[in-house]
Amino acid sequence: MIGAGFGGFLADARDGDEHAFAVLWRDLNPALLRYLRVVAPPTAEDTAADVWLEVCRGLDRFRGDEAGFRSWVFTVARMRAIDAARQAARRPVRPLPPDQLPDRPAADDPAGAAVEAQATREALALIAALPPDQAEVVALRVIAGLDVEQVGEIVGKRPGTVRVLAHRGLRRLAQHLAERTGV
Amino acid sequence: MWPGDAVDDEMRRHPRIPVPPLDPAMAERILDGTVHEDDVPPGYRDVVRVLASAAASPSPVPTEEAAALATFRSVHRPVDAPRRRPVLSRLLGAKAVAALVLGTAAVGTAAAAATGTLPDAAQAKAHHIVAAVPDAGPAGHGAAAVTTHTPRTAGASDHPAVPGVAGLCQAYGSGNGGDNGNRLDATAFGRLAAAAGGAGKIAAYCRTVAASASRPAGSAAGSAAGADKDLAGACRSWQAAGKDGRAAAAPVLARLTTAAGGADAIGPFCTALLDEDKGQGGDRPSAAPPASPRGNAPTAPPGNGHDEGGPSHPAPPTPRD
Repeated sequence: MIGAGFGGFLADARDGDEHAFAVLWRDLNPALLRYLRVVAPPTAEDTAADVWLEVCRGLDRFRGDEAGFRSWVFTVARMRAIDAARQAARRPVRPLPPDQLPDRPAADDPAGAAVEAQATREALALIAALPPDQAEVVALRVIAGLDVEQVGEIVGKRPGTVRVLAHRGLRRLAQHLAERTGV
Repeated sequence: MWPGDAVDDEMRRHPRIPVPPLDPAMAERILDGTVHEDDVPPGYRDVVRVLASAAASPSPVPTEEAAALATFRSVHRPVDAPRRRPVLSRLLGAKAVAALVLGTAAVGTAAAAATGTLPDAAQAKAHHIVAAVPDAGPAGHGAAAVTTHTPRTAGASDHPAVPGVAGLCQAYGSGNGGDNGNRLDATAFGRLAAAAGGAGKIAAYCRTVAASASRPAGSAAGSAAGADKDLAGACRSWQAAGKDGRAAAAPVLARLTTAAGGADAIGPFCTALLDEDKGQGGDRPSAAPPASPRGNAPTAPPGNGHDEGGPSHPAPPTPRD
């Protein structure tokens, strides 16, 4: 989150200041990418580029605060992810189960970052393995950092439904983790 | 399309381990990330760890940032900053010159045709070409028609928000197949992608642009028969311009590329179309590809962006408080 300075950065970005836009991008793109890795794994990077293109186009029309901005960006992301999933369905690729994902980090990664990146990859894969509606809600709540009402607006569901889906998602995650570790 | 089966598979393989219940308020705190892993009910400690890893923010990749900024520059040009001449207009500049040369030639030919100074065969052909120009008035007013036609297609007046998009589309189409867009630089491509609402939608969008550019001014939608008549005319001028069509006017070429489904397909397409035309007296040829946008191409010009107007496609939200 950018916080108090957000309005200024947004206004400057709207005036074409690319440094201001870079601030918005740096703040949001990591979460955007991780959200897309949950809901549209094979095309996350391409989809993120599409999302930013649309955000750039819509900056002039956007009115709102930082929470609204995040909501809007993830709304766009969700639509692009659905498009990407539709396209992927035409040439199906079966996702790897979480525990079969490659765990070799790139050679030039510092060890600590690699371990962290690996932990993030595994975590995203675990969330992605939830039923789609649960995975989406959990990702929007946890990764995008949106509240129940915002998530409800984005996915077109009532706040109560969002809570139930997220709750089920957590229980299922717990179940999966318990079974995996054999506890 | 969603990776949702892995957990189910796992659950079938293993005996179901009961998971302790989760208080809804605690669930919300876990989701908000406001609870420490030591303070959650048994069985949820790993969940908290997983969610923390998922939410951990890695540092952005510099190359991705550069790409994002390039996109930003291509789309969001400052209003009052000194402007470099955009690639778009440079590109269009070249096209305008070409169009002017062709237009002059056409007007000259039309004038010659009108005054009857061409040899008979050429005279007949010239009438064909002049009459064939889309949006042209009745044959015989060719010179006027050419001059009124040129600015319309050059500006793609159905898409006033994106000037020159027809030219960009043509440059895009000239890349052919998988190489589409290679002839556009990043800025022009970004602009086109922006207009189309996504890089993946450019082809469909350009088909729409070409179709709307070919729509006769004043006619409501351009009936199928009318569109085919236009295409037949365009084919004739394409053939007259030389077999490779390089000398054909840009809008004609763009429309034919669209209708035929590729620059390479124009030749066979036109041959088939004109043969059918001869045989059926201008009826819609059944073998030729349809003149309207195909596949999932939008039927309305997506000039306002395809994400607006539907309940599941909300526009940027208004302030929440």
